[in-house]
Amino acid sequence: MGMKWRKLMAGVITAVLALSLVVGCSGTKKEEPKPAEQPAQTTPAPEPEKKVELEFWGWWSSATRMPTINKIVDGWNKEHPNIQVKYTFVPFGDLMTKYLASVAAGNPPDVVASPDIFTVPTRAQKKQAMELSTLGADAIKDQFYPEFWKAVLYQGKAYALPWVGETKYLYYNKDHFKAAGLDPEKGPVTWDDLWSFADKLDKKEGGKLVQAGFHPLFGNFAYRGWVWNSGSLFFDNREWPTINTEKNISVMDWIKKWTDRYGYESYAAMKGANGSGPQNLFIQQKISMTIETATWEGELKKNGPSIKYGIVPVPTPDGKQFQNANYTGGFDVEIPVGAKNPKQAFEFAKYWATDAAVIWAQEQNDFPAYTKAAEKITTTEFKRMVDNMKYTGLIPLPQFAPLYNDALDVAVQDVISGKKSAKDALGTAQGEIQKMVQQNTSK
Amino acid sequence: MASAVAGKRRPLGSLKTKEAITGYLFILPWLIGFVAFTAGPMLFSLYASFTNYDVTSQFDWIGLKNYKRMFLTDSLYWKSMSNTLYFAVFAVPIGILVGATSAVMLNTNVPGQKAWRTIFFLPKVLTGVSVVMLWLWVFNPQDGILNSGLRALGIEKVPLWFADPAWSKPALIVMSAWSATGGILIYLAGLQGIPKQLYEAAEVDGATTSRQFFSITLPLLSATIFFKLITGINAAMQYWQNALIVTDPPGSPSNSTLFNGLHIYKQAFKESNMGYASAMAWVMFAITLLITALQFWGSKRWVYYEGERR
Repeated sequence: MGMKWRKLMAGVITAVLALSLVVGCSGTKKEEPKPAEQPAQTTPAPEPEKKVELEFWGWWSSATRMPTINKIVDGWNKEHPNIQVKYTFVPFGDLMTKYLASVAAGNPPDVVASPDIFTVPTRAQKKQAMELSTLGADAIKDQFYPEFWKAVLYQGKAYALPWVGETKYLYYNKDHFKAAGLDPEKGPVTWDDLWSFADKLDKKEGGKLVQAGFHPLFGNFAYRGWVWNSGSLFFDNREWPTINTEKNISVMDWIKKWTDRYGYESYAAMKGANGSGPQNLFIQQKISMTIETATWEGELKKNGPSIKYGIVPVPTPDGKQFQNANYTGGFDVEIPVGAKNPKQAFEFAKYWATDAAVIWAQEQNDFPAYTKAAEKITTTEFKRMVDNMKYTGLIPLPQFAPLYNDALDVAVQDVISGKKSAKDALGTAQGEIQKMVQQNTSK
Repeated sequence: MASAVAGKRRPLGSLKTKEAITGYLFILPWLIGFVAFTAGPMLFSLYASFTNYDVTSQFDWIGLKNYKRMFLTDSLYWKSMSNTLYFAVFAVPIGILVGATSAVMLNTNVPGQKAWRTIFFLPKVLTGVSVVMLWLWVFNPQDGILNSGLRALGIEKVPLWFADPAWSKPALIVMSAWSATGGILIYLAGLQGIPKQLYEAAEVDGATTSRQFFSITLPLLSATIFFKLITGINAAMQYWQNALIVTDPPGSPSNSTLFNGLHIYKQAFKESNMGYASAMAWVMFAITLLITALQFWGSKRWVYYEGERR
């Protein structure tokens, strides 16, 4: 005991600490990637003999998505023993930041699925996404819808492969319609329909709003969507902002009218009660009409199986449908600058954007940018989506004000909370966005 | 290095030099880490603040352009600074008040003292996004327990918390006050360090409990409070993650929760203006340094250290 015991304990503790340090620092073993070959000029060369493992980043991990991901990746891996793909889940909020950081650090993944096709030109300009035209993208450009292809170009070259877009519908609760005396087979067609239907659908219990007919901002549709839906735009041909036009102000006033209908407090309370999955307001049956993507129908069926719902195109002011009645973002797949195996990565990216997109569309109800998908998928849901794509706009981000929506968000909050009039709020937004454009064009 | 270390001329290999070298060897791992992971990147970002660095494509010297933009043309910068200042001015004193009074209460011999201490310490352990999401429910304007409680007290016009630009920061301050009870550990340690004889002597002299508190407890606790003040101000100036989690879009409503850190984050990672973000970060560093220096200068008047003579 005593001195000898203490010396022994000290030795043991030091050994344990040293061991944990070594184990902790060793990290995960990763197979050393082989050096990349020269990219082919026009057609992709046949698969090289050496085995390569590609890292593929995506933001899906839920039980709804993973079976399809695994099916696609496992199917590819079986067919391509020399190009093995490993899918890595990165949380949606972190994906783009991690992507940027990995390019800066020099050890990026091989293929990244990106949720924002409209920022591809930005990433191209900032040398974050690899140029794909010389890797073989130009050879397949006719396999994609032209609107989607345009979105991935920067200075004439492709920097991503378009993958899927969405389309949005107005979903309505047939049971609520029946209870309110409305025809459950006739959804709203005009903006006035929304208002008059809601007059019958709103329900209050003891002064508290328990069922709201509709609100333009409850659902997957923002102020900018309603501006486009009304036939207006935010930027002119020279990409100069035209934010506070009469039309845009009137759309803002319309949204304020809806908020005042319930009162800002009720609006805020409802908004606070909104969540994802089964917490969605429509699935909670707290609102009777909402706008969501086509792919959300799967979630609706899963989380609200008892809800009888109807689907119609998003109502416009006069009821006529046109290209910008609803809007979509787009998803794409990119190869980061610095990826070690661009040729093999492109092979997988091409597969992901074409044949795999068909599988994805069949199981996840998204709309592929791959034109041949319409020939291969013949379900009623898909046909409905193809029809609705005629009314879905793919409106690109302005090159010199990619964050213009931040200024719009502030304007919307100021107006619906009563802090500013629509005219003043949009005037402020116009000034802010002008500053953004000036700042970015002077760089 | 040997003679410089000792500060005076000493023969090489003397005991003091040997001790000095041993000391430096012991801290060498930390020193290397500090230079590589803290000081090095800090100096890099100082350089980057004078450039148009965007991480992946450009890194050209542009002089004071970033600083000019920050102070002269970026209205969001001033908004973010005023938000951060508002938060610091309220959250820090409230935090200290909550922490210190909780600790004083928990220092008395009440039944179940250990259980109470555990309960009050819980906020320190309960961190993360899930707790913040629960707070969102507490602050729900219609169904949250806070507003339900206020209505039960008869208040008709309850604040709308995160839906109202005027009440979003107070909501965050309430959240941080709740977390402040986690700091009782430091205060309790400070309280235990106050000699009991002082209290006994005071009681013999007929001092009331409150007199004892103001004349014995507070002055002898002032060193601990000073420590909490410095660290509290530092934390408040860098407070922004909760705003990112709680508000959607971040900084809403109407940029009322756009703290300086959040503005820097958006500029750095959403707009890739890493150079500009670095400039803002260094300005915040300078401001915090200045405030801390002022606190140290002012501390001479109100902080008593043990064994000090006045």
